[in-house]
Amino acid sequence: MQQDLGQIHNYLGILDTNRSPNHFTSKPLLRICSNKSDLATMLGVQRTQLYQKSLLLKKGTKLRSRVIHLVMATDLAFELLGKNEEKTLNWLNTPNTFLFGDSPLEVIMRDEGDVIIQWLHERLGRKPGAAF
Amino acid sequence: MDAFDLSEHLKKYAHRYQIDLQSSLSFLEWLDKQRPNCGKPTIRWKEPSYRVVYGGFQPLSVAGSLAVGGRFNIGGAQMSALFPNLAMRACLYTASHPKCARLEAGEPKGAAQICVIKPKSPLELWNLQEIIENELPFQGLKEIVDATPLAARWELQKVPKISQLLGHFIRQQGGDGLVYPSTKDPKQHILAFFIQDDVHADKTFSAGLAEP
Repeated sequence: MQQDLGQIHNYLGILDTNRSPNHFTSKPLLRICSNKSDLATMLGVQRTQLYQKSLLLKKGTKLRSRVIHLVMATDLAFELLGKNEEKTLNWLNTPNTFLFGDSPLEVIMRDEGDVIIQWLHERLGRKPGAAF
Repeated sequence: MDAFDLSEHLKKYAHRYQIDLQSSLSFLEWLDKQRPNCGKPTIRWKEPSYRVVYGGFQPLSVAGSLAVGGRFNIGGAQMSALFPNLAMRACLYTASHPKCARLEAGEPKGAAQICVIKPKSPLELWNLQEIIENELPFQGLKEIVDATPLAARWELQKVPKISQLLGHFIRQQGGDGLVYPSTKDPKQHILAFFIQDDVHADKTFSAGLAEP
């Protein structure tokens, strides 16, 4: 049975809603980062853990913060980009002038995902903001 | 799609931080040695200008600019013990044409609105291009300023950029702001008004929605 995730839509299926929103599956993440070793480095887990069907997101860990920020950011970007999955994945991995040349994924993985989420909320008109 | 390597990225990020730090420190040292005199502001500005806002944002609010900084102002995000003589300052950024404002903003979606900002009395502005060309012989300064993003997420920038130090230096000479050609729409200009806070902004400007 799928869990209610509140405001999180989990459009890209990163969280394991069949089991518990405290778990995630590596398969959808491999579409963002296709190399298992790199994905493991990025998330701060052992490579072998990625062979598990579902991984626990322990409270207060960097892993949890990174994955949740990634899910929230991909949800918002997916909406902003006309619910186009390919465009969302491209945006996530593309160096961005507005982020001083880093990609959104890079910013999220160095634990500054809240900036990306705030930005996307502004761009969607859900939070007040000014362009400049 | 290229594989993501966090350690490589963190190295790249640390490298960028070091480059920003070194170039900003050397620019400050250069300013300190040269002590250029910019004279007086040469532009008397009383025209309307334009700002893109979304989500019901107050068009004259500079709280965000003060907290995170901008191309020509140092915000809280860039404050550091390495630059003890710098202080947080806000700027109100606008464009000389609505189309230019949209281009600089990167075509925002959602509830974006164009607001028109009118000065209540004429303001004295610096022509930054003129100053760079005639008064500040620092190699590649124009290119450095042009390459510094205007509408970026400045909270991600942890060291003052050269363009911010330049804005800070010019502000110390007086004036109400500066004018600079838009990099996205070269026929138009962006304006950075030197504003202290929201109360000062309200006293200096009136704001409303631009005609569609």
